[in-house]
Amino acid sequence: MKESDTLFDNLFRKVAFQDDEQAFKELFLEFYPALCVFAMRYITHEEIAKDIVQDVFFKIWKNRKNIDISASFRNFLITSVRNNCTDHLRKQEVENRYIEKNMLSAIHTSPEEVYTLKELETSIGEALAKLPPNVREAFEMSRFKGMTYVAIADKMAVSPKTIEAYISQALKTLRIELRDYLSFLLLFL
Amino acid sequence: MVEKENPDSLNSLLENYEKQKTIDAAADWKQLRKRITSDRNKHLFLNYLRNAAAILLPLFLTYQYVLQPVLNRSGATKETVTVTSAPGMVTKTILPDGSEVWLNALSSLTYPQRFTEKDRTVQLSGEAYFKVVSDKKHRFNVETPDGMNVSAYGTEFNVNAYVSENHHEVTLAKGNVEVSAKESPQKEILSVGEKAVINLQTGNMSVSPADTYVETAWKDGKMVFRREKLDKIAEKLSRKFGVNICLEGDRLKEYEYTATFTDETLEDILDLLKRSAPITYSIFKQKQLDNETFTRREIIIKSK
Repeated sequence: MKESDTLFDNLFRKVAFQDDEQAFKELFLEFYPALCVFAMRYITHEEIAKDIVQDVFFKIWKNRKNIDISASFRNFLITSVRNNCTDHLRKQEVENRYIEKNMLSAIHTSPEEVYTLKELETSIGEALAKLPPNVREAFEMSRFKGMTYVAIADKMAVSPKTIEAYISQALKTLRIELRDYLSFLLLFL
Repeated sequence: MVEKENPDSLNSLLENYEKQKTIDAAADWKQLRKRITSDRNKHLFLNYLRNAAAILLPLFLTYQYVLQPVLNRSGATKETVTVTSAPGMVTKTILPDGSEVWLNALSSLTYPQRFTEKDRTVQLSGEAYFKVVSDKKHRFNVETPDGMNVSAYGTEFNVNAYVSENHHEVTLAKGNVEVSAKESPQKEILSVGEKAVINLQTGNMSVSPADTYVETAWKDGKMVFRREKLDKIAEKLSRKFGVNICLEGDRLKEYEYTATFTDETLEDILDLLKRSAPITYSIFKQKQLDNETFTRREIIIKSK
């Protein structure tokens, strides 16, 4: 993750110093989905959350010459999106006189992490690769295809009990493999 | 750190992963690009305007405050017009600002072709009647060779400043004027019907009531005398008719006349003077000089 952070920081440097729009596009495509999901933790409405993230990117492009990134570009993005979400909620609060208290309080929990789609893809893929083929097949059917245990058992010609065992084995392995990501996630759940 | 197993944490990581997959980043990138482009075009336009202003403004200021004054100073302002009135004639002229000036005989007025300076300044030698167009922003100044200055904004007044006389007079017909003499801090503001007399020898200025009709009748072709001494009359006659008049004997100068002349000839007038006082006169014919010019006619007035 730290290596990818230096990669992103370098891309941003290209944006700032060379007005490299291609680099900016790369950063956008990389982070946009993750940030939208992140913003949706504060703002339930998906379109508003997306608008906020787009705003953040727009401002970054506009102020690219003056932005001072002290930590990493990733942290900068997280902070910006969070602040914009807070601002939005405050404005809404004034409009509606209605506060989603736990939402506002969630804002104070730190640190937070955002993992890009690619990062998740790679790490989850790697974790899944460590599973025995049967276990993995059962897990993917349950998780990503939304099939019931009975349906999977039917398909794989084993008993639902076996599927249950497969799934819990898969979860156990994944928890170990993905613990770097999970320890962070714990905090805000 | 928190390492406690949370049964939902893996689940939420996977959920996060799946949610991210549903977001179409490429489509939203297109939206953002559009926004960036239109914003940039707006900025380019503003920059263009700013650059244009940065170039044009100094040019404009240079023109306004450097070139134009220089051009004016070197050009139009220095070009002056001089109007001269011949003996026996009253010349009327209109100044560039629309003011009217009647020039009495043997007088000359110099003024710029265009009034571009702060003040409207003209030079007068002799006698003139001014009808000044009102302009509160630009003073109207009349300067004479002897350093008298008459200053006004919009009035009617008569200035009598013949070099040959040792008194200069300013008579006010309308409005108000300020009169000052060279080398004297004294300034007088005249009211209607007053006149300022400056003694050129002493530099003293005095203000006294005046008969504006008498003072300004000349511009309507009349000569009006009210208890006027003969030497003054002789001077006016010599200017009007372009002759030299000599008075022989000091006693003559004390004679006072009251009369109004309009189209009488010089002989008619002299005859009238002769009839009302014990004087005689003789007229000498013009003489041709060596350089083929002629002298003025000469008239000598003597007491009987």
